[in-house]
This record gives sequence, structure tokens and C-alpha cells, in this order.
Amino acid sequence: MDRKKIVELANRYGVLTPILAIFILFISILLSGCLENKEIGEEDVVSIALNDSRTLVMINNSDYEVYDVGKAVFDGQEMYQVSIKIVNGTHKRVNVFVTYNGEVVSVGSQFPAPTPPEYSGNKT
Amino acid sequence: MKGITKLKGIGIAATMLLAALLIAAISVPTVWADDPTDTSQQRIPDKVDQNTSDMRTPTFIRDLMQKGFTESEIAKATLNMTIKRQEGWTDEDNERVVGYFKQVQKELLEESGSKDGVVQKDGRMTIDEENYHGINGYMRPGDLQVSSDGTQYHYFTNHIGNSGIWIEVGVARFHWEPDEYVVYTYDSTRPAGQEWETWGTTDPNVDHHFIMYVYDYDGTGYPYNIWWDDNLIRSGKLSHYNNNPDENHECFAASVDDFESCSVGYFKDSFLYKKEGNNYNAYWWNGDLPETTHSYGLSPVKVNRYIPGGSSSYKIDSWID
Repeated sequence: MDRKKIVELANRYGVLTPILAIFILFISILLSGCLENKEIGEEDVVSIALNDSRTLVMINNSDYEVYDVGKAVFDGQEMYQVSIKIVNGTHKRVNVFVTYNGEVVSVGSQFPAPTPPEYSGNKT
Repeated sequence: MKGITKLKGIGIAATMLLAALLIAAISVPTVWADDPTDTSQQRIPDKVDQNTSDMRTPTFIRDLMQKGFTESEIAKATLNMTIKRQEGWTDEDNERVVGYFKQVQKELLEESGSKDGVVQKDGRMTIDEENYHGINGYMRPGDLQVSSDGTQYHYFTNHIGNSGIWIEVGVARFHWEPDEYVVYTYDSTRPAGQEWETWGTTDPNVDHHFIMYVYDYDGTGYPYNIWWDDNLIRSGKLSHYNNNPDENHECFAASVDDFESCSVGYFKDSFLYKKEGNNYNAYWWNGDLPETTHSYGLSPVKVNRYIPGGSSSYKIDSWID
């Protein structure tokens, strides 16, 4: 192999290697973005919300009804919101916030929750 | 040969650099933002100075404090006070509007999708931990647009509560009587039908000062006062001293598609009361509190929470486009 040919090959691979790496980087970012943005559907959201341990504590083995599934902005982040009505006489309502990736970020009760008070200090 | 080595070296270096970038791109989270739940940094609560606290204390209470009354003596004095409604707001007005509240509650309890039910959507700011025994702030509800086939009711309201027991003060508008912006209170400890009280009507487009304050245990419960623009409008007893605060814009319609636009309403300049040892302190409601403040808007209700220039606490705007 003469010197000219060697220089030519080195030039070729010296340039091709970074191009190949850029291509791999581009594909990786693309795939990573697709995976990050993979949204769960509303059926999955309800299932995720109902199986969260905090939700189970709120439901406490009572009958319940999922009465609203919608979108919300929670602490500045857009996500799903699942509203659950407990139908054990208290009619307590629970809001569960689930990210588009399926992470439950908050479970809390919603006012007004017509709860019969255990406390009798004000009863006449 | 020297030229070949140099070129190869450049190629390898570029490859390593890109590999490093690749690893970084995968490992760094895609959203770079402040984590609102980050508690790693030490927070120093922003205490309300005595002068501001005094200025925002109702005249009646301030007079008692200047006379040396203790917390329990003030509580007793306020519990014995006669609560007066706004001049011209009659028992009949009260009963009529309480009837509206009961009707909304009935509709909320209907099964989803039934023709008599309503959907509730909120724009809210809250702390979930129960550490405070009162709130002192301002609200301006805005137009609270209602109609029989659009948004049927609005409650622009504050709560403090614990374990499903709470008190609240706010302004309500119902499509049955759209000319009225009713100032109301709620006490969940009251027997069924007696939870709501109305005080009168108000202008929704000016700032209103509200206070809910819970006193120390008096042997049968924790006395509380609710003040509206320097008027004592309700007192009673709660089951808990330490509660979570909540500022909420509640909107009701027959279905999600029926909500109609309403102007911006807000809560602002709120501070929270906290007893520490034997000291009764007040702290501005902002990100320096040890607890995380959450805010959310359930679509189509929108919220925007921020600290305006010149203020020490969060302002939360809420509206429907």
C-alpha cells in the first residue's frame, strides 16, 4: 500500500467515524424522546390511580365511583386528573394526579366533601 | 505516517466526545426545571412583622389585645358576640340561598352522567400538612360568570381543615339569582342543614379581606372566628387546632363541555398563623414555608401562581378561557 492510499483511507475513516457517531447520537436522542413522551391512555390512568396505595387508603374498602377523568395542570405540569367519589355515605371525593408517564404525583381529598362529622362539639 | 496518525487521533477524539454527549443526553432528564417538591435546601419561613400583623387584625380584637386580654379570653369574648348580617339581608334571604347550597350539594352527590348531576372543576392552592391555625388574606372573585346552560355555580372560597372537618368563607354566585354575589361561611361540624350561613352580598370586583382564626382548646373544642372586611360573620368550634389551608375557585356545570369563560379572580397577600411553643406567630404563604404548596387547575379552569412585586406571598389567579 503506498503512502497516498494510506492517507486516503485514513482521511476517509477519520471523517466517517464522527459522522457515524453523530448519526448514532441522533437516533438515540430520537428514540429516547419517543420513549419519554410515550403517553398512557385514560383507561391506564384510571387503573394506575385506583391501584395507588394512597388512593386505596382514601377509599378504605368502600364502594366508589370514578366520576371524572380529565386534564389538569398540577404545580405547572400538565397531566391527567382522576376524580373518585366514595359512596359509603360520606361521599368523600378524591383527586388523583397522574403524569402522562403514569406516575402518581398527588392524592388528595377535594372540598367540599360532605363528611358527617365524628366531632360533636357543635351539635345542638 | 504522521499525517495518518493525526487524522486518526482527531477521529477518535471526536468519537469519544460524541459518546460522552450521547451518555449525557440519555442520563440527563428531559425537563430541566425547579423541582417544587425539593426539600433539600433549608427554608427559613418569612415571618410577618408585628406592625403588619396588627394592621390586619380586626379592630375589635386589637382593642382587646391592647387591654391585655389573653387568647382564651378573646376567644370567649368573640363566642359571646352577636353575629349580625349585612343590613337588609334578611332571614328569608339566608334561607333562600342556603337552599341553593343544599341543591348544589344534592347535584354533586348524583351519579355521574345523570341529568341532575353537576361536575366540579377547581383552581386551587393548598398545603396538605396540618400545621396552621388560621389564615389572613385578600380575595377578589371576579365576575364568576354563570348561566343556566353554562357554568351554573361558582364558589370562590377559603378553607382550613383537618381530617375531613373544615370551615370556609367565600363568595358564591348561582345562576338562579345571578345578580347576587353572596358572602357565605360553612362549618362541617354543624348538623345537617346548618353548615351554611350567609352574611350578605358583595362587590366581586374589589379586594376583600378575610380571616379564619382558631383558638386554643377551651375544654369542649377549639373556638374559631371568621371575619369578612372587619366584620365577625361566624364563630363556633372546631375539632382540630392545626389545619391545612386552601384557597379555591370551585366551578360547577352540568358537564365538562358546558363550562363558559369567566374573568380572572385571585387570592393574594395571605399569611398563615402558627403556634410555636407559647408563641403565636404568622408567616407569609410563600415558598419559604417548610411545607410544599401545591397549586392546580382542573381543565378548563386555569391557574397562575406567582409572587407579585411588592408582595411577600403567593398570588393565585384563576379563570376559564
